[in-house]
Amino acid sequence: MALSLEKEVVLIECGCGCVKPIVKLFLCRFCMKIRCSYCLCHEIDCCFCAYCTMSLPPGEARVKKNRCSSCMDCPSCFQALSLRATSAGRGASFEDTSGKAQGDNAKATKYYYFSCSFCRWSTRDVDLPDRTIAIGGWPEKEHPNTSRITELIDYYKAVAARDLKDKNKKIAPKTNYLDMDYYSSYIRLKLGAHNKDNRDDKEFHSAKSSREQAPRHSLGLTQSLARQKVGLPAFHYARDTGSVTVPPITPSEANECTEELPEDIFMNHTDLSKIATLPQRFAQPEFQPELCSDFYPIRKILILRKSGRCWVCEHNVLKPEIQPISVKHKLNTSCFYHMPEVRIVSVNPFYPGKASNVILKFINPFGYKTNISFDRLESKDEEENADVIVKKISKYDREETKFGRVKKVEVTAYSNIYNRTVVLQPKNSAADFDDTPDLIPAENDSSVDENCLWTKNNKTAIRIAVTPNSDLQPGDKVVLGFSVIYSFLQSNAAPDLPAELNLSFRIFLSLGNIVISEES
Amino acid sequence: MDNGAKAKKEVSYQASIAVGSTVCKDIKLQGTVSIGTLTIIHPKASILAENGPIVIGDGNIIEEQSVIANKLPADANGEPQTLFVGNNNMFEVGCVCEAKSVGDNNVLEAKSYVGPEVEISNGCFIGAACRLTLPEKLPENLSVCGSNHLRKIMSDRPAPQTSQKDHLAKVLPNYHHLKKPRQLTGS
Repeated sequence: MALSLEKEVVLIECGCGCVKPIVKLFLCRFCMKIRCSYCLCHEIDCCFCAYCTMSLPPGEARVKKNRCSSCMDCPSCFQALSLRATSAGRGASFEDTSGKAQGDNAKATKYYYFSCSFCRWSTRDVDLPDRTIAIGGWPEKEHPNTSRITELIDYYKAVAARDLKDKNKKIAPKTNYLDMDYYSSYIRLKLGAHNKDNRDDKEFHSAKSSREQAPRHSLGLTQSLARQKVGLPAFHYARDTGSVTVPPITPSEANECTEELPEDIFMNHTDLSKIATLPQRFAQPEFQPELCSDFYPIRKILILRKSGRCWVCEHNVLKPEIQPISVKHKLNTSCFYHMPEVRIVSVNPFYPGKASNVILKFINPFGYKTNISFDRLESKDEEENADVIVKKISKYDREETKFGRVKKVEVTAYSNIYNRTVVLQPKNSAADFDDTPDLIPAENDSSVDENCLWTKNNKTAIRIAVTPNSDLQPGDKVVLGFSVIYSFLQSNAAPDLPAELNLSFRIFLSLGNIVISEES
Repeated sequence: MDNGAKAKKEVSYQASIAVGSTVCKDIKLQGTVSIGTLTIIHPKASILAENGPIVIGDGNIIEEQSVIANKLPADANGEPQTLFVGNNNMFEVGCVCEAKSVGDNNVLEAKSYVGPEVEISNGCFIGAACRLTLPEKLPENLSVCGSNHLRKIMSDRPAPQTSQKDHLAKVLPNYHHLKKPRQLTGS
């Protein structure tokens, strides 16, 4: 089902200009605009292990290198390793972390090791000693260059801090004390100017509404907050506490001679079953084992659950439940639940300049009656909105904004769908399971559109005549575009907003191709 | 008359079933077959001694729909060759084993296939749906698995299925008719 909806046949235009299937779009309940994944700020909600569903806050996950501490992957076939328990331990160091000496009570203890049920690799294959603790605490393999890496990281952190300090020094005025009056007047000036010049600047207003309710007078503002408001970088008054000391590092030295190949490398028969394959080496980038005997269990990578926030109004659009086990959402404003769905039921062959019948089905996702009407694709009034989004995204320099966005869909057909109204009955989940017959309107029922074919629960099918442009060649795509206006009832509308809204979206249907004539 | 109907239904075979084995009645036998003690054969398994006799050792588990077939060509003297299956092997559901010989402690996972020119040594593990068709002698403790037939040598042979065997020997007779142990009697 999801797959059929993800097909790029029925596409809806997002506020930013890209067109996507309905399941990939969201409706921001505050802007009342369609948002796609590029118009959302993606935030990490929680990191969790998909195997043991242990969740971690993102900060802690980063410390643990985004890997689970208790679950392991097979280094040979990358399936999850399963823990095996035996009474007979094996390995050099029985006296591991528990500190128990191997003695009489060692008989009663159980020994654990990891084993892959798929390829039968086990930690015993690489002579890793068994452990007496079942979960967690499996020792991490020490990287030979750890100290060098931490040294370099510390060095570059210090360099970055020094650079930041130098940069701030240039901006900061040369006063050693806090000149409150100067700053407050400066800020007032800045804010006032901002208000006058860009009275219609939506971005500013939306930001203002949420945050700038705080008093604008200098007394109520802290320095850092004031600077943040006028868009200046924060500066540090404590700049004279001393310069950042950059720890000395020893630069790496290039070596002239490389290690010689072993003499018998061309003579010996290669045993591929003992040599790691490239995927196996890349699975452990820090060690890249060449031989199967150097394998070490790979700690499972944590996966993220992310939430989406509208770039324009900064409200949440998508918020999953915190529990990683739950697949539900606290808030899910997917367009699939918030706008009528359009499906193509059947099409007739298309010829340039000739009208053909197309049957479309409209599905009401709401629990109330919805009127939908159709209009031509009018000129867009959302350009400025798109600009805001693009500006915000480009701040983060996201590659997708440059390459991944689909901008234009060329409409190559027109139809007689405009200026019609269709009434969709409310959705009733229980009724979907009933075997109710299709309701076919009586022939001379004037209350129903004559092209309305049938109605079943919340679904209505209508017939339209689509005429491809006469300049199309055989094999060309027939794309129909129109805008759909539908009534939307806000369940939890803010008091200053009307409860019922007329929303619209622009939709593009790829109906098929022009028939390639049989004579040619 | 009864005997005649039976003979029509079943392909002729000569089976020697050792005492202590659990061999379900609903299996397909063909040719000369010998089954060792403690071996468990599930219903619907096939042991087809087509080109020569098959000798199955002790403590093997042969699961449903698995096929063990002797497809060996006749030797230099024109005599049929015998397929020897060692001890404590595991033939999982739907595997097809036409190997030259099978050693001890091997595991053939579900739907795996071993061709007639392969010699399985000891402690080998052939993963689910893996196909071995080229002539070779598998080294000991070899593991073949995955769609890429990833090969590696295991440190140890696959764990013996003792408890599974005990359990099956206890449970199978409750639900299936068993073949009685006998010494080389044909039907």
